[in-house]
Amino acid sequence: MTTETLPIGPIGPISREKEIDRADSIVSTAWVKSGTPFIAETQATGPTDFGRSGAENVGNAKTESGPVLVMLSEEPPPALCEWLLKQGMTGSRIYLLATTSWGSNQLAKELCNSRTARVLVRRAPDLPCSAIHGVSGGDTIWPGPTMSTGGSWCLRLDSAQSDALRQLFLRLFWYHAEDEAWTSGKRQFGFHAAKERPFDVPLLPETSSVRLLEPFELDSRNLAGDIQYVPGVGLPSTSTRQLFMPPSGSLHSELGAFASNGTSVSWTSLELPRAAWGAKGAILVPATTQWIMPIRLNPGQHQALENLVPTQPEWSFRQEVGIVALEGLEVWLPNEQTPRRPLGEQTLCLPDIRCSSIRECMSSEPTSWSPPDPLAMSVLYRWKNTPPVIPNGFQNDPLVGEWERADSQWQACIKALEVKLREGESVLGNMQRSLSKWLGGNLLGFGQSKEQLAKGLEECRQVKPSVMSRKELIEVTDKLKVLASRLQTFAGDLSKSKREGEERQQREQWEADRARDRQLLEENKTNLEEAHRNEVGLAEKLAELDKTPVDDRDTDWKPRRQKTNDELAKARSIHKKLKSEVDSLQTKLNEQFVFKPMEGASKSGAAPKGNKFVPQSPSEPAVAIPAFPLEELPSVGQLLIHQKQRYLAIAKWEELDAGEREATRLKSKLVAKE
Amino acid sequence: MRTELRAKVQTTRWAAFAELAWMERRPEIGILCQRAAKEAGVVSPSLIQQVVPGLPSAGALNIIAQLKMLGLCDGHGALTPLGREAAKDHEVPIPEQGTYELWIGEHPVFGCRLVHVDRIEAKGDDRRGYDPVRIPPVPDRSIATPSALDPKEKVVFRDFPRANGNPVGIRRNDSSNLEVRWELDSETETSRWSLVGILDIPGKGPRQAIPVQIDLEVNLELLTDHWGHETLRQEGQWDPKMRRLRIRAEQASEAEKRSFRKAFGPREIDVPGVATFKGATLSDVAIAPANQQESQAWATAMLHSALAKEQQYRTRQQVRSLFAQQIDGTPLEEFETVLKPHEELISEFDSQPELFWELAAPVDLSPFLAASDDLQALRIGGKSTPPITQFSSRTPGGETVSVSLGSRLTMRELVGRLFAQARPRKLLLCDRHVRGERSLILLQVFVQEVSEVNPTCQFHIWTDSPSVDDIAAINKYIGQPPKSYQEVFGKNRPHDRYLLAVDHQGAKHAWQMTNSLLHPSWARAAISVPDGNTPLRWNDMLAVKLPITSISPDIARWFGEGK
Repeated sequence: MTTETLPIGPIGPISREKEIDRADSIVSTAWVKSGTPFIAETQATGPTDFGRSGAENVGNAKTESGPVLVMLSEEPPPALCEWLLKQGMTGSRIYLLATTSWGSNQLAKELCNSRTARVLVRRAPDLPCSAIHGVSGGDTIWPGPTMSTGGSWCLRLDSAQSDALRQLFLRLFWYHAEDEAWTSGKRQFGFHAAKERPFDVPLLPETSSVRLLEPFELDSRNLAGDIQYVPGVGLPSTSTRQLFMPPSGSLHSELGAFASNGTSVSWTSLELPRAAWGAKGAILVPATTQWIMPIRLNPGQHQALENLVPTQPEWSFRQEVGIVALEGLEVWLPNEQTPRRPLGEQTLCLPDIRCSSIRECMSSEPTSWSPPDPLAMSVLYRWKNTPPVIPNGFQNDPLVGEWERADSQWQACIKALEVKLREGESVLGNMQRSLSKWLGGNLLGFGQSKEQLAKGLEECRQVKPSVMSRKELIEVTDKLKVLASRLQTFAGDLSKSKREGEERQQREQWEADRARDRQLLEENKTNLEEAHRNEVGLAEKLAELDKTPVDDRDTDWKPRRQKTNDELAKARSIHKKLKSEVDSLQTKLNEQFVFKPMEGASKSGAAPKGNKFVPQSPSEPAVAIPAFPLEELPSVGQLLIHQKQRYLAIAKWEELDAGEREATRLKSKLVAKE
Repeated sequence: MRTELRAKVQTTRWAAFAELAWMERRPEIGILCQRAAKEAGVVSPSLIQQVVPGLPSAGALNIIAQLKMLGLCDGHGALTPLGREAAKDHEVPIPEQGTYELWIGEHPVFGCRLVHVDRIEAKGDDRRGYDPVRIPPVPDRSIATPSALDPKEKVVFRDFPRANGNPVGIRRNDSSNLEVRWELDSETETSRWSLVGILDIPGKGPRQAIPVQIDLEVNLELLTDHWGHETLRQEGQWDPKMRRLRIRAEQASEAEKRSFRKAFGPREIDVPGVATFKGATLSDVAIAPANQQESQAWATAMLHSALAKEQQYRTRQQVRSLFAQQIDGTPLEEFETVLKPHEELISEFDSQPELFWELAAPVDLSPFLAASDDLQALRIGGKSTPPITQFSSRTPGGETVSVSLGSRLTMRELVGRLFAQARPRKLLLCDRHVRGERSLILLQVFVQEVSEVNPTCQFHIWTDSPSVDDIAAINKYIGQPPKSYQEVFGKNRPHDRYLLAVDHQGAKHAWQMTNSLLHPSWARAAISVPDGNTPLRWNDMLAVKLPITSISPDIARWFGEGK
């Protein structure tokens, strides 16, 4: 594998693969299918032999004078069912021992509906085989299930076997039946609890050719033989020359031990129950989970059984086999559920690798390789290298926030300067409207300065400091400082001109008011003298009146005096008023001109708005130029943070080189954007 | 035969002046009557002087006169029925005169007697509007009659004092409704009557009479024969010798066949010389089959009934025993009755499949081949005794001993057959029924007979639910208590019996037996306790000798005990 050039485009998983050749591999143990299935053709024709039974063989069986005993296993042979139905029509007494699920099939319905059939049925769980007893053609046991090709193996019994079968039937019938029913012409059997037995039935002795045992009672020594046929689970406890056992993925090590000891391990399905035969005899062992029913075969049956063994087994158990030799054959390996054939190339997809850096995606390989199929000639591994990504729960780095705040402060600063510029514009407009008479051509220069400042501020407003280099940032900051200074100057000049105009305006008004007050003073002085004279005259007049003796006083005296007194009081009042006005005007005329600037005073003359407890700054504050973070933002990718670890997330392969540099500068880990 | 006869009693109520005697307890007079009853029933001056020493003759005569006045004896001193009663219970009639309300009942069963008496106060006004009339019924003077309302109160009628020759009284309206109930039972030889019904009491309303059983002497044998011949003439033929009514089997119900008793009625029953009673029932009439044919039908019906009553699988031996038990000791024994051959018997149940299979299956599916004789007809009532026969067995190496129903085998013979070639050193009898007097006696006999073979033989018994008494008895006979089936087998108890033995050579023997060797009977009337030579009457029993491995491990375990 070589390092490839960097791809372009978005950063994502990189697909990788590796191929290994396995042609020289071997398998330790395997079942190998090399033959064809066995088809039994032996017919049971003799009185005590062993063979395959079709409907025609059972159909020929006729009952003796006594009753017929029939035992039906879970899967009874169809030929026996047909015979049973036919026999039922003859009216002979039939004792039927069936499994507990029996009673609803067609056979049961037809038997029950029959007007002639006389059948007592008892049902017991888990019967080990099917059998008939009491027929002239020979009592028979069907030890195995129905064969795949139809028919079933049947064992014609000799007299000893027949007697033992009857005894076995009686034990099951009287001891183990759970319910019972009988033909009564009704549509179906009405089962009810089996009644108590009327006697005891002796057990079959150990010497009996047919026995009924519970699984724990089975002595495995009884199953010894040169050839063992073990169709179910379990292994022989003794060594044997040939072992027939169905192929599977289990027990390979145990079978290997048998094979190492010289046992030929193979399989051809004879569709028989477990069996063992050899020089000491032969035994068939039909079994269910509850019962084991060893049947010791007589010599004729034994010979018939030996004749069944095929020369070429369908499956063979082999050890240490090269997989090249298995090509095209069906093979059952250890611990596998089904057999299969060897593979050409096997593609194995391995789990994705999460690389520690983006650049490693180009070169990483798995630390361990999945074992390939033992039957694969070669194997192609495939996997994906995925770049590192930031863990969930990340946030923007604080540096990003600092720069965002700097950008905001920059814009706020521009905005504040623009506000000041607009205030200047407003002041300039007012001056042009109200003070042009006193300022004249002095206002023309202000308009030009305003245009230049506005243009400069607009240029600064278009700038975003966070995306600028440090050098650009210094330049634009200096420019802004100049603009601020110029704006300050502009405002100062404008304020000064405004003050001059206002002073001129106020002085002109003051002089006009002074001329009018002087004229009014002269008039008031004249009136004051006249009032003084009037007052003196009235005072004298009153004194005259008061001097008149009382006796001389006529009736008008008193009213005249009162009138004179009132007029005197009035004259004094006028005199006093005029005197005050003259003093006031005199004082006013004595005062000097004082300029009162208009700015800062409200039109209504009320106190300026604002919090009166906060003292106004003595001078107008200057606009602050924002400070910027010391670190610059990365030139590529997004700066993020997760649990105090900085990450620089980039999206494209093209950003990898710059990203690595920036990650180093910013002391961050470089990751891919998801 | 038993019957209850009922008839209405004619009752009249009178207000009259009368002389009555109320029974009172007088021990001093009772003792005199008691002594007299012992002395030929006569009260004599000397007897009184013996009872009352020092009494002069005149005084004794005065006492006798007094007893006569009370009605306890006649002029010669002979005790009257009242006097004999006084001798028993010391109750004596104490006479008095007065006006009474008298209820007088009349019926042929008891004649005319006082039913109840109330004392009343005589006023002149009572006769106003009433005309005294002659009282036609005069109650029996010889007996003390208990009141129908209070049987403890007994009154003796003595007389109606009369002025001009006739007893007179005022007839009262009366709505009393009394019946006489007469019960007769020929088997217990009892004849008793009592009064039942309502007595109308002025001012108190109707009162229920309290029956008092009073014996009435009749000839029940004659009466039974009379009814058998006459009253039941239509039902069957009366057998005066056996006192049974011979009928057809179909006339008896299932229960009647089983009990050999039948009820007939209601019908008119005549008691000659007394009365004819209508609507009476004759019950518990002993019945029997009329002839052999009816006897056969009777037995067959009983067998069918018994088989249907308790539905279970039955071996032929059990059916034979059941049939024999039903006939044994019954009227069916008179005739020879036949149990049909097995095949013929079960064919009778073709329409009853459950019964059919209950009889057929145990024979068809028997572990031991039944003897052909067993399956043939069984004749009961014959004189011959079936011999012991050997049976063949399908069990390999089978050795059998068979005892047939009714055979007279002794226990010694049986033990001899079971242990012909072995002397048991140790023996187990596994039999679910070792209890009751008969079984325990036969156990003792069996133990004695085995001990005759080997006096040191150890016996063990396993049996079902032995009582404390059974355990004590068994312990006494075999020297150790039995083990219970519950302890040995739990729920898997054997049905058959087993006899296991270890002989003097250490060989093990096991017999499976279809019946118990403790169940035969014997002629207990002649022999109270049998011995080994007593002929026993057996039911069918088949004993089969089995290989040790063929018997249940629960039983075979015994061989390993106490080694």
